[in-house]
Amino acid sequence: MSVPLTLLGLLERQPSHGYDLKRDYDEFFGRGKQLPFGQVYATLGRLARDGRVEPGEAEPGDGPDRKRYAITDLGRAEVDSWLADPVEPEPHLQTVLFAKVMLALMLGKPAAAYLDRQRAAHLVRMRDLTELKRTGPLVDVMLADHALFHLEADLRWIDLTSARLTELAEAVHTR
Amino acid sequence: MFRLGLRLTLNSGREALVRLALTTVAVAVGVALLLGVLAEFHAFQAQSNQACWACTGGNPNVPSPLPANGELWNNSVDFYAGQTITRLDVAALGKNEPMLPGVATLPAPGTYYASPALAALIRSVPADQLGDRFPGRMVGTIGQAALTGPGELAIYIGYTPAAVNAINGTVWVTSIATAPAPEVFTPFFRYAFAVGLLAVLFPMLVLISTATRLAASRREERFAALRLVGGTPADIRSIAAVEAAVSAFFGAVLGAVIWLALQPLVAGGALIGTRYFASTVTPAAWAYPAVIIGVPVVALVAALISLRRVQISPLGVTRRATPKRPSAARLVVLAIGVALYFYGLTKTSHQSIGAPVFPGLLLTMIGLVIAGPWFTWATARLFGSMSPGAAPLLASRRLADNPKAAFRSVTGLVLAVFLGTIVGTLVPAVNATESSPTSTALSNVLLDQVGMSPAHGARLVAGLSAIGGTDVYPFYLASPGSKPEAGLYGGQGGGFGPLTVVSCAVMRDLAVLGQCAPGLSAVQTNDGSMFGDNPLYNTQAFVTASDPAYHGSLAGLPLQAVLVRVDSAATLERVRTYLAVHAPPQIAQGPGSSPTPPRTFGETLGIRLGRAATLEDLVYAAVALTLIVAGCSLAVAVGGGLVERKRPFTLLRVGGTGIGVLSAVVLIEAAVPLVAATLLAAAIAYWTSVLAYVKLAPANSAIPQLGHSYYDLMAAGLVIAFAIIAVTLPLLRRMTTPGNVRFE
Amino acid sequence: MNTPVAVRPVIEARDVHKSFGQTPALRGASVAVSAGEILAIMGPSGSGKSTLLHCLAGIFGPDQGEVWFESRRLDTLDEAARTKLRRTAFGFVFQFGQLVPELTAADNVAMPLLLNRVRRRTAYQTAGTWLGKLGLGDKGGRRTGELSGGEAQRVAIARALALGPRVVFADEPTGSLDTLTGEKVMDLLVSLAREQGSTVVIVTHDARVAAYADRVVMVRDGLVSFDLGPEASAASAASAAPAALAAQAQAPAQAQAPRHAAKAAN
Repeated sequence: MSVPLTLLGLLERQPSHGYDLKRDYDEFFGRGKQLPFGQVYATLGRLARDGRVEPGEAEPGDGPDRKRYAITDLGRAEVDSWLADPVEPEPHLQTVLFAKVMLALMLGKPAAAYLDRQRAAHLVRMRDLTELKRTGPLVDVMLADHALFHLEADLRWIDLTSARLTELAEAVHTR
Repeated sequence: MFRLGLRLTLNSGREALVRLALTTVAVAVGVALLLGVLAEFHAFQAQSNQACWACTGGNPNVPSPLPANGELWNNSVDFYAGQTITRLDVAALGKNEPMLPGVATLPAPGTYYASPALAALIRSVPADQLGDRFPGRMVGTIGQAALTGPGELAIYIGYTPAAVNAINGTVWVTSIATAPAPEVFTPFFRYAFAVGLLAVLFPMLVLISTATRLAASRREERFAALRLVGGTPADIRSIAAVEAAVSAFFGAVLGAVIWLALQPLVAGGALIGTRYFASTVTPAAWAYPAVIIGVPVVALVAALISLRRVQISPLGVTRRATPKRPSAARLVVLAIGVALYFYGLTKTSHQSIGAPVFPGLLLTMIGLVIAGPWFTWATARLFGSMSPGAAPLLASRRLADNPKAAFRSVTGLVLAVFLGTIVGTLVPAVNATESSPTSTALSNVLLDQVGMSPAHGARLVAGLSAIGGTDVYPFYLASPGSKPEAGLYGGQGGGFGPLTVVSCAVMRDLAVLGQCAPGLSAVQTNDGSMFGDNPLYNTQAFVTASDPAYHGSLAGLPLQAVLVRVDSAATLERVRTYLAVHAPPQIAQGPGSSPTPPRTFGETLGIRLGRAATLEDLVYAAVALTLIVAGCSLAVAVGGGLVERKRPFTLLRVGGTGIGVLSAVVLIEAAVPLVAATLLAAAIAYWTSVLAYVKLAPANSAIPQLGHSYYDLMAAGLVIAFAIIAVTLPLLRRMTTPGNVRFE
Repeated sequence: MNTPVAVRPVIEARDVHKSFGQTPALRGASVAVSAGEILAIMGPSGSGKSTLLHCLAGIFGPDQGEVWFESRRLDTLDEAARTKLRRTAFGFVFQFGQLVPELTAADNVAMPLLLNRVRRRTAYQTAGTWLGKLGLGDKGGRRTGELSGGEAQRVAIARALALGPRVVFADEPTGSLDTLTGEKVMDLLVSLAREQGSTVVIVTHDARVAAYADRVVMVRDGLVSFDLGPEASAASAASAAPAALAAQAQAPAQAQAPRHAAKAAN
């Protein structure tokens, strides 16, 4: 989730103050996790430096936060291309879990049980996300779907790895 | 449950309706044929149960003076253009005498009643050929009660008692017989009808059970779904029963309607030899409800039986195992049948047929049906391994996997072929033995046994000679002064009765019947053999060189019989007319006797052949019936099979298999069992018939060949079968269009 | 491994063994389902989960072990009694619905009622109501063979629920459906079943389907080897809160921390 590009996108709607930007960001994208003011202004500063935004005249009033920022053509172009480009599919959890399974096998610990527990956790999470989908607003539903699919992908990897444990164990021990 | 079953049968989509229509039509054809057979049988029964008034035995010693009660009868037979005329010259002796059937009153002297057919002939034919035989004028027609068929020729001629008493052979009758005529062939005809009935019933059973098995796999899926939501096996059975019974019911009703529409056509025609009265050509009243109720019941039972072996579980049929291949043990019954038949043949002689022959034949037929699947399997394997290409491979694999189902659809045809081949081999052969070459030389020679005094005999001969176009050959009795009674001797063999005298000039003209020793002018001989009705024997020579000469004048001898050669049909009838007027009548001598009307040798042969032809027609009719019903069975099986395989075939097409290959598959699948089993049935039938014939026939008879009417019938059957299959092929293309199948 | 339940289970398998020919499908499986619960049975193919379902539904009996339904032995009942249960107490939603394609949707839904000798009018009225609840009110007269997969499954659900079952048995109910249709079907199934107070037992290999259940058990090699009860949910309630949700979506690496905390609590 790229913070600078998101702020830039929000700015494309209309020129805004930093304070308004942060408020919007929290509302749409930062549910539960607030973006620190410092990060907002630091990001805006960087964007201005790179020519994506243009700081407006400081308005008379209380301090530097009342500067109004506006998007430049360069900024618009960058938002366009970011939206158009697909997201890089990153293996989120798999790298960590992979390391854990390898270590467990090397150390002769019950990898199958660990995987089971991980599956349980995944299932619980999925159940809660599904429950959330029933009652929540559309934005929550979309986020929950996204998470569910990733969790499902993780589960599939867990199932496959569980089925392969014996092979893996051999491979590990012959290293 | 009933309504559910109705729903499923009638209201479940186009495909189901097509299946329903197919079954209905097929059953309808079978039912119509069944009713037709029953109708013919009813007519036959009516005819054979007809009171035989001509069988009335009277008292040949008419009291003198004439009694005051009863009637005087002179019951004789005549002949016209291939048909017998039954003639009654009758006089009443008092009032309220026994009434003749078919008329309101006895004909008054000088009048006569004729049957409608005879009346029409009398009106249309020149009098000197027919009408002059009957004295008096026609005052009415004889009703149905006295006749056996609309074509029968019969006449009641009225006389005064004195006049009829003067005729040779008059008897005194006080009551008229009401028992039916003891036709010697009646039991045989009954048997033949029973066979005809079976010939329709058996394939119909196969047809019904094939129809109920249509779309069996889809039906199983459907039943599994019902079982899952709590349907009991009894519920399933009820639904299946309703489905089967409803379609059979529609078929039965349609069949009855078809029969009723065709009945006038059938009634007017002479299917098996004689014509029946149209009013009798109808099945008995109970037949209609019996068929309309019985056929659905049979279908119901067939459906229940087919379900009995299947346990529908709520999860349906998940894994369909390949049925076991048919074991060679199936051939056992066939082998036993053939062996029994051969054993029976060893016990067969000219006099009687060995008892084991019949069960042997029956077992052979049953054995064919049982062994059929094995032959189909074996042929399919052979075919598949020999022919290259995708279609033979697909077809033979499928056949080899389930030969039983493949054979089931052609069972009826195979039986028809078997029966037909036996008939086709034996009947023409038997016929051929009867018409020996010598018989045709006398085909236009009429024979009449007259028994007249020398004076009357001379007048007769002169009168006959005076008719243009005749050559008259008299045969005399050797003992002068005797007046033998007509009709006392006849038949084959000799050694009975007084000897006959004949001139050698006559014998030169009748060369076939023998020759005198050279130099003689007349010989004494025994001519009994020529009065028989077996063409094989009645044209055998009886005058030989060893016959002693006769040295007297022939003019003073009583006339035993005349042979008259005629040059045309008209002349023949004129001769008979003359004989009817001037010669003693051919009398029926009491119940059981069959008098012989004046006939040519050719006519006698014709009657004999006609009878055999009738038998042949009967069996061919049965075979044709079987072929029709079996053809319907095949259509149902092939059509239904296509519907069942719509999806796999469509998938094959989608996968790139051409429609040509698929058509070839369908064709081969139907053709292989058909051809294999048919050839086998024909071969077995032919060889068993040949062997039977060789055993039974006189020595030096030719090996029977199959006549062209046989080939015609069989070819027609096979062509129709293939036509049925071919008709379904365009359907195949339409049905397997990939757009039709929903892929999810 | 039985999960101790305070309430008497509505349906229960105890140490069930079942083999098909030489192949053992269940080797001592035990599971208990409480009234009103939604249970998911997961497992790889060949694990015996469908067989377990069939035993629980009384479609066939186990070779060994017991199956109980509402304090009665189910596996010793005769075929007629078990068939009767299938049209009065059990509803079925299988992968392909097991509908009769030549009959209309209304016919199919009314079928269990008709088989139970309910009067025609009542049966079809009930069928109409339930088709309406599943959004198929106008499709009652269409043959199910002509409906789409999702519509057919909804007909199957209507059929299962119309008879007011105690237990609904579902086997891969969304197996042949696309994602959105499958979700809608699961939503309907779960909410309507809950509304009626029916217990639901679902066999599935799809985790997202299992996520609809209150409880998940795993079947492996013919045994119930894993039981994720509802109480596990409480521990992770915090991590399922929107905060963690968004965090996980935003920054995968950062989301590890609250996750590990939840796992430790297991």
